[in-house]
Amino acid sequence: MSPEPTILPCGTDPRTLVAQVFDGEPPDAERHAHQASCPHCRATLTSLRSLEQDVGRSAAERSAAPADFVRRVMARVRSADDALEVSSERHGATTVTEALVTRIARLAAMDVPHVTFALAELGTRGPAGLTVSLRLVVEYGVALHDVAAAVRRRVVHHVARNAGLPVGVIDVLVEELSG
Amino acid sequence: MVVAVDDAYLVGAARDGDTDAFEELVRRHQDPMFRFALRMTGSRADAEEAAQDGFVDAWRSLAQYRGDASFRAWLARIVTRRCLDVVAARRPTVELPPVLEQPGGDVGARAEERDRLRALVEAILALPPDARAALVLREFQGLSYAEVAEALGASLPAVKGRIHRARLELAAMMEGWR
Repeated sequence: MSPEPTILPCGTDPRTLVAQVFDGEPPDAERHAHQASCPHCRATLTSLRSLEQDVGRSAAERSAAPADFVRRVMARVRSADDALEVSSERHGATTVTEALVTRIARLAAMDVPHVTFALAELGTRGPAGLTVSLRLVVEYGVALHDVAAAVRRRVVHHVARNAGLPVGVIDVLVEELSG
Repeated sequence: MVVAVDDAYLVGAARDGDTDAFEELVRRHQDPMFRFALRMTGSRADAEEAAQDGFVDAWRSLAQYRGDASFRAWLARIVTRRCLDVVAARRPTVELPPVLEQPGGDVGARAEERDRLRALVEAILALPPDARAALVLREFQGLSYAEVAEALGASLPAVKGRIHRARLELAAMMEGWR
């Protein structure tokens, strides 16, 4: 932590001068009159103004990220560390990413009548299969447990069919009603 | 891929697992985040590592982004954490960012200005890491004081005080250049 700034010999807190130069907070009439004749305030203001200009010049520097920056980040984002193994056999393993499974679950839930919006999240992979948590917005006026049951059936079916993964548990949270 | 959509839309899609949407976010924010990390660490290698780790962290924690801060401020918070880790993990080094290249002007004056601006970069690297992060976010990332406070998880008055003190320290360190 930086030390507390020293109060100027004239009694001025130099932070008020910083605010004046960097944030354009104008001095009141009294301080304005004081500054006109105070060598301490004037010296500090001069040095702060010069710093402000240099900071502006320095900020104009526009170094760019290395050319392969996006590729490297995305390689890690898309990498296998969130991959789910679908099958492992003599001719190689098949994996899909968690992101893909999440997407399938979400789209499947959105296809159920009376569901107006859905978000999906994957939990742990238990012995019975994946745990999927769904957050739904459902139309007002329909039986929520019926909608939830339909969502469960459809999500299990689609994740199994499209991603080849069994779903063990589906937690459904109806978060909001739409008109 | 050039998309005429705002960050919020891309964040929403990325949160649903759309890596292409996230790629566009990385493309948009890579330069400012890299520059920020460069000013924080003073080394291109460290800056690249910290900024990359920050983006990967951001991808993993997108679900926690609630959209109450700008995506940039939220990202800056994550990258700041990575930069502070990198800085804490090593002893201060003196590898300097590349010299600023600016066109035209009188050669002697340009050289003097270049040296002075390099001294400023060094002076900023000499600030305590917390103060440096606050100052760099405000002055070089263009974040508001409120956004800096959000990014650093500190109160607005604390952040303002920290930045004001840092400016006074810098002004003192740069005294010899005037």
